[in-house]
Amino acid sequence: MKKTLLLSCLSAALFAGNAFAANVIPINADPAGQGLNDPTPLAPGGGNPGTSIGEQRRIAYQFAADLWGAVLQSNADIRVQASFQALRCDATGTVLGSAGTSPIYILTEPGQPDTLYHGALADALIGEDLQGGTGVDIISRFNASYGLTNPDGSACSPGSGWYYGLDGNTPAGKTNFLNVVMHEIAHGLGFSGFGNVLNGAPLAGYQDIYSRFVHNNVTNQGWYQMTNAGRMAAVVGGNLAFRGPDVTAQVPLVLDEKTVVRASGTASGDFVYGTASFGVPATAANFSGSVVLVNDGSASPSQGCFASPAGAYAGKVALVDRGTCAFEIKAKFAEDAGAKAVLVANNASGVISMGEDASVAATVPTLSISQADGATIKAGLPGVNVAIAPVPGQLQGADSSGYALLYAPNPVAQGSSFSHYDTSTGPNALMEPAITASLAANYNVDLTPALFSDEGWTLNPGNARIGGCDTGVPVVQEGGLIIGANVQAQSNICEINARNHGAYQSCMAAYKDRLEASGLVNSAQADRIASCAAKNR
Amino acid sequence: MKPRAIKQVLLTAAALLGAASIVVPAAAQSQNGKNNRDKADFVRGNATSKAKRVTPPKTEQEAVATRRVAARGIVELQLPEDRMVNLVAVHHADGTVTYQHLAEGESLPAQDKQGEVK
Repeated sequence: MKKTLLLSCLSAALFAGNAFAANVIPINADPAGQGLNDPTPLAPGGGNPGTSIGEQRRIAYQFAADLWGAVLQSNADIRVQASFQALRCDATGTVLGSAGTSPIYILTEPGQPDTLYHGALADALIGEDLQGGTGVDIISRFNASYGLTNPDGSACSPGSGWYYGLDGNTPAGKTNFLNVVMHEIAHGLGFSGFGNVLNGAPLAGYQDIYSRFVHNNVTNQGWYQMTNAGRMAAVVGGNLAFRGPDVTAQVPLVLDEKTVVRASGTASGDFVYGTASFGVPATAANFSGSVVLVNDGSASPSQGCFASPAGAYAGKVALVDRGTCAFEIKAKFAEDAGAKAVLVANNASGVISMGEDASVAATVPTLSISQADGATIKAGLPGVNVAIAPVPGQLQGADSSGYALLYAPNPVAQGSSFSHYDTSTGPNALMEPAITASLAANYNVDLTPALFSDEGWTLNPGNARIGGCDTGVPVVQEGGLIIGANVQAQSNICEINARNHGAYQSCMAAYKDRLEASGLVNSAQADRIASCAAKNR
Repeated sequence: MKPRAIKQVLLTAAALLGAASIVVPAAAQSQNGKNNRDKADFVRGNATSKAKRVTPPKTEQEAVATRRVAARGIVELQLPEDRMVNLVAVHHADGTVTYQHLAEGESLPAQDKQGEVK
C-alpha cells in the first residue's frame, strides 16, 4: 500500500504543471430566506454594497474567499461550504462560528511517515481535486442570531453582532465578520492539528502536517517524539513552539519587541502583563511612576470598587486587586482619584486580558499582572516604581530562541489549545484564539501565510492582476501583508456589483483613493490600479 | 512538504521505478474552472451556488469508517465533528468578554464568579 501511495503521490506532483491562484468557491448551504439568503434590508456600509443582511454576508464571505484565493496557489478549486445557523447563544456565551477541513488525505514522502493533510492542501500538492469536483473541502458555519434574537425569541448578545464591512473599521461592540471568516477558513486550509488534545493520540494513528512542526520547549522534543502522555503534558505546559522555517524567518518581521512591567526601588522584577480593551494603550511613555495601593475605604479596600478620595492617587500608578466589580469600573474610580495608570493584580496565577464595561468609560492605561507579582510589589510599598520596559533580543509571542509560540493554556481548552498562536503574540495575530478589534485581515494576515508555506502551500509570488493587467501591488509579502490580494478581491466585488463599466471604474477609483490616502499603496501603484481597472472589460 | 522537493524526489524515483511513461490526466492541467460569473452567482444568491449541506462524521470512529481510496490511490477520510471547533464569545460576570474555541457538544463554561481567572 505504501509503495502504491508513494507512486501515486509523486507521479501526480511531477505532472501538476503550473499552479494558478487558488479559486476559493463559497457554497451556499442555507435554505431560502435564511442565513446567507436573509432578505432583511440592511443599508450598505463599510465598503460592503449589499442591501440585505444575506447579500452583505455573501459579499463579505466572497471577499474573504477571494483574499485567500489570491494568496495561495492551487490547480484545484477549493470549495468552502458556508452557512448561517441559529447556533447556541445565552447569557454565558455565544457560538460565533466554526470551521474545519472536510476531507483529509494520507500522503507519503520519502523519509517521513504517512502523514495526514488538509484536503485543500493535498489537492494543491497533488495538482488536482482528489474528490473529483464533488463534495466540499472546508465546512464553515456562523451564528445567524448573533446580536439579534434566538429562535425562542430571547435576545442573543444584545448590543453586539456582526459587522459586515470590508474596511476593517469595526464599531465598538461589534465583531468583524470578515476577520472571523478569514480565521475559520485558515483553520480549514491548514492551521490545525488533527490529534486529540485530551488524550494526546494522533487522529487514526497518523501524524498530521501541522503537528510535524510543533516542538515542546519544556522537554526539547518534537510533537511526535513524545508519547501520548507526553503530548497531554505538553499541551498544557505553556511552552509549545511552531518551528517551521518560514514562520521562524518571519517572526522578527512581524512581532514586536517583548516588553514587561519592570519594578524598581524597594521591589524589583520583570513582570509579564495582560492588556485591557478599554483606556488608551499602555506605552513606555504613559505607563511609569510610583505605585500606590488603592484604598477606597470599603470592606475590601484594595479592590477599588468604590470611589476613592479625590486626588488620592494623583500622578501615581494605582495598584488594585481583582474581584467583585468589572475591571473598567476599578480603572475609572482610580482615574477619578487622579491615577495616571492602573495595574490590576490578579487573584490567581497567570495574567488576564481585561474586557470593557459598558456602564463606565475609563481612559487611563490599564494592565494586569499575576497575583504573585502583585504580592511582590505590595511587599515593597511604599517606594516601588514601575515602568514598561523592553527585553532586548526577545519578541512578543516568541520563545527565547525566536520560535513562534502556540497556545497551550492550563487547563487545556479543547479545540482552542494547540491550533492557534499564543495569546501573548504582539501585535495581535489573526490566528490567535481571540478575535480582537485590532485585527485587519483584509490587509494583514501576519504569520499565517508563512505557516501555510511551511506546510507545503505555494504562495503567489507576483503582483495583483486585474484582468491580466499588473497593478504593481504584491499579492502577499513577507510578514503577511496582503494588499495585492485585497486589490483583486475588491476588483471582483466592484465587478460583480457594477451595472456597467463606468460604475466599475468609479468603484475602483474610490477604492484606490482610499488605499493611497491610507498609505497602503504609493501613487504609482494607485495609478496602475486605476489604469488596470480602466482596461478591465 | 514542498512541491518542488517532491518533484526532485520524483525525478529520481521515476527513473528508478520506470515511471516515465505515466500519462498526465487532462484534469491535472487546471481545474480552476470558475470565473467571476460564478463568483457573482454566490454573491447574488443564485441557485447554481447552492448545494445540500454536507455534515461530517460525529466521532473519530465514524471518521475512520469513512476511509476510502480516492483519486490516484490516495487514502481519504473525513475530519470528525468532534475535531471541528467553535469560535465562542464568552461573557464573564466581571464584564469581560473573551473569545475561545469550543469542541462540538462541549458545554459553554459556567458564568464566572467574580475574580475567577478565565
